[in-house]
Amino acid sequence: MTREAVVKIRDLIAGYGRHQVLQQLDLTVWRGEALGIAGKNGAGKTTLFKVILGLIAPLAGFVSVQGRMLDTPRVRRLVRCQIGYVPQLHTPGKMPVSVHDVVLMGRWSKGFGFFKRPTMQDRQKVSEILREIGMSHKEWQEVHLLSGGEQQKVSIGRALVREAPILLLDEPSTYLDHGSQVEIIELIKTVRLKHHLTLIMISHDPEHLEGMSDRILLLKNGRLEER
Amino acid sequence: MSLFDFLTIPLFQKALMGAFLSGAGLSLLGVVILNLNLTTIRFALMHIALLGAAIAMVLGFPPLAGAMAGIIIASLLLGPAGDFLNMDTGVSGVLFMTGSLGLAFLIFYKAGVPAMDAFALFSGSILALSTLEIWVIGGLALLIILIFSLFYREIQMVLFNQELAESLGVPAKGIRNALLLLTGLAIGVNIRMVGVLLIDAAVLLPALAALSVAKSLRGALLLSAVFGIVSQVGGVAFSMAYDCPSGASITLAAVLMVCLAAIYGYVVKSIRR
Ligand SMILES: Nc1ncnc2c1ncn2[C@@H]1O[C@H](COP(=O)(O)OP(=O)(O)OP(=O)(O)O)[C@@H](O)[C@H]1O
Ligand SMILES: [Mg+2]
Repeated sequence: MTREAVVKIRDLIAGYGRHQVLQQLDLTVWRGEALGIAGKNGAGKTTLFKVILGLIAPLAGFVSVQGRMLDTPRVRRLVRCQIGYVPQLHTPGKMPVSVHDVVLMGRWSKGFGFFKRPTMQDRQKVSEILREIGMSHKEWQEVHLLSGGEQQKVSIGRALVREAPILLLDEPSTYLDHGSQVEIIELIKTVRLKHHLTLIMISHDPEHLEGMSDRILLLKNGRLEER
Repeated sequence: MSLFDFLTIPLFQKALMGAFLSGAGLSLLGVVILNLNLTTIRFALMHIALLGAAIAMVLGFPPLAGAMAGIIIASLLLGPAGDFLNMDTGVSGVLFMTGSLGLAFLIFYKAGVPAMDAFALFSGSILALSTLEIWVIGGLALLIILIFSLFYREIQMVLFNQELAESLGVPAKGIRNALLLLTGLAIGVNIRMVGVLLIDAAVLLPALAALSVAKSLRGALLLSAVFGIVSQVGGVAFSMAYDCPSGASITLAAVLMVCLAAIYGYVVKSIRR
């Protein structure tokens, strides 16, 4: 079986304004693998995810996702449909919003979008995924009343309803207590097999990645190194 | 004169109409202000309005037109400026505010424009609304309601987490900028109606009350409108019946509503426990 590259990055330079965070970075992620990337706080892990998501345009270099070069805004938008993204845990604001609605957000530009309301299928998909991640009983609760572990599950659920082949997880288990960490790691392993996902996970602590990754790279001085 | 006698007078009819429209439509933007951390934006816009008025007076235009133009331009610039300076929108608002205030005073001093004439704009009077102004308020209220119903899901995502919205493909910055423009217009109109000092009562308090009891964004928006209408219309009617200043009545009605909503929210929470 030939290996197929899902994400391919060559000589990437990226950052914010004149502050170059990633320098000459190379990365190949193969279909079906679970890749862990470790790096200190501020090393540029989240920045790398933003480049893959097309949220930051590289200053130089070559980035492709699923064989498409991310060189135009149109492609960058399209690629976002191929990626489920679990952002670094953020404290929900004051806005009241139910677990169902938060997961439903993952269907934007997949099932519904501008001038197209969510359909029955979108909502069924949400309920289905909530059952899978064990959050059905909280479907109509407000998200800001959930524990950190539960919020992380909801975030994974929102990425899964996108039915995307690639899943990016930013510090999925970092801010949780030990019990919830184990639970989230098990959940990630289960959904990976069930949905045939390619995973890229980042954490400041390689130990967090051990249990879930096939291989782990280190992000240091703007480049990726073997461990 | 009883309240019903007042209702036959066009002046008061217009005031009540303006209060109703503002409550029904403009109050919705309070939810945006509270969620996007824009509580400083009204100060920024006030000062820019002052600058606009100063410039208009120097050039010989009506100060109100200058103030409105200033508000529109500023609320269009606020989002992109924050992005460019890599600042929170609320923080870039502070920059706008101090900058324009300094400039306004410079103009007042150098051009010898009577500053008090510009400040007079800020006292606001709901009883002085012209028919044209009622139409403007109504049009703006309608536009706000239309945008919130057409783009409900997208607005929900942007208010929940802007970066997440963007990663899902939503043009989050564009939506945020549109919300900022609507917020600026609503604040401008409300300054005209209740005056600068009581602007919070009109724009923020209904949303504050709504957010403390609502369970969804839709609920928060609907309740903001209801609370907005009750406090504005109730306040105006009260001021007519008991001969009080209308701005103060609106404010006190809104404060009362926030307290009631907070008590209700507290009771519901302790019952659930
Ligand atoms: N929006 C931004 N504008 C300017 N600089 C930024 C921005 N976001 C991040 N940076 C800078 O880029 C560098 C890398 O940030 P990044 O968030 O990618 O680090 P990280 O590896 O994810 O860190 P952490 O482990 O804390 O999440 C940091 O020095 C940070 O200060
Ligand atoms: Mg990070």
